[in-house]
Amino acid sequence: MLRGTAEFFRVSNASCRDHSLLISRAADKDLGLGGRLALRLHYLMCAPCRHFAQHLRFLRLAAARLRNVRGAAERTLDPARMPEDVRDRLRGHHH
Amino acid sequence: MAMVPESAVVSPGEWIARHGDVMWRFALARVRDPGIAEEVVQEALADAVAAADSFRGEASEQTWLLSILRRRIADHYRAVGRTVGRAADRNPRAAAGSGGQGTLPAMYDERGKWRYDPGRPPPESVLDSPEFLADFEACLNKLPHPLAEAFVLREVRGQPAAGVCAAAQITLSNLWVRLHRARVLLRKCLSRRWGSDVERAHEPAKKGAS
Repeated sequence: MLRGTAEFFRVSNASCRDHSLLISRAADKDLGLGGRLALRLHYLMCAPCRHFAQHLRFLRLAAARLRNVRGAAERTLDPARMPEDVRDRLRGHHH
Repeated sequence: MAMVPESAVVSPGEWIARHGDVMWRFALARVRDPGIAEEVVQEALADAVAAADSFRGEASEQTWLLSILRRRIADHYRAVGRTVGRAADRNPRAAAGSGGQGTLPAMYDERGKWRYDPGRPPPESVLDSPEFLADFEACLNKLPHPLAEAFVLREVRGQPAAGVCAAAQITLSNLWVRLHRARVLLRKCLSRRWGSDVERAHEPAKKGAS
């Protein structure tokens, strides 16, 4: 609880510059209850930061879409395995 | 083949058979082009043959090969980055925006407040547009290599943060900074065509830059 409170004040005192880094970090790491509350509170007062968070969610969706769309194309290529023709050419180079 | 200490086994054929798939995945995840991936793997194998006596069995054979491959991929991006660097010299403002080193655009004033509201993101429906996805990929390809690597592994491939750190050999806080920079630059790049009117009014499209 104490740590949550400290995190709350740390986050609420940060500038928008620091907030945007925190918003980005929250996409990869749980900020804890204090951090989450402070971010929510800041969003209420700060439209640009709120929009920035929306942009990050949008980027994540776009990346997922890219994975799904390109993933279909990549499967025919099977990125997990080196294609046989590449393998043959590489062997040829090193003989 | 050159003189090689007996302890080192120089056999590119064996390397390809045993580590080919891993090297391929490693290269493809970073250069995202099968032709270039083949090129860097081939160069790395040649390097490995030349430097076989540097392999002392301290690391596994695979780790050793991947470290050589990593250097080749870095060389590739340096070569590509050089042309970007020259363009940036001519246009310092573009350099600040597109960032050879991933410099962030001046989004905040000296007190750390936003210079302007970035506005709402585009509606999710644009994700269905092949045009948008092509732009998104183009923006991704313009990122400095370490940033692109972090973003692609984390967001496009959906790996957990710890996995990305291991793959890119960086610390967690380093990864967060890279991801943040990648996101800011991607957002900026996309906003030129897909941003809100407000944002476009603040940042008139730069012609020819990056």
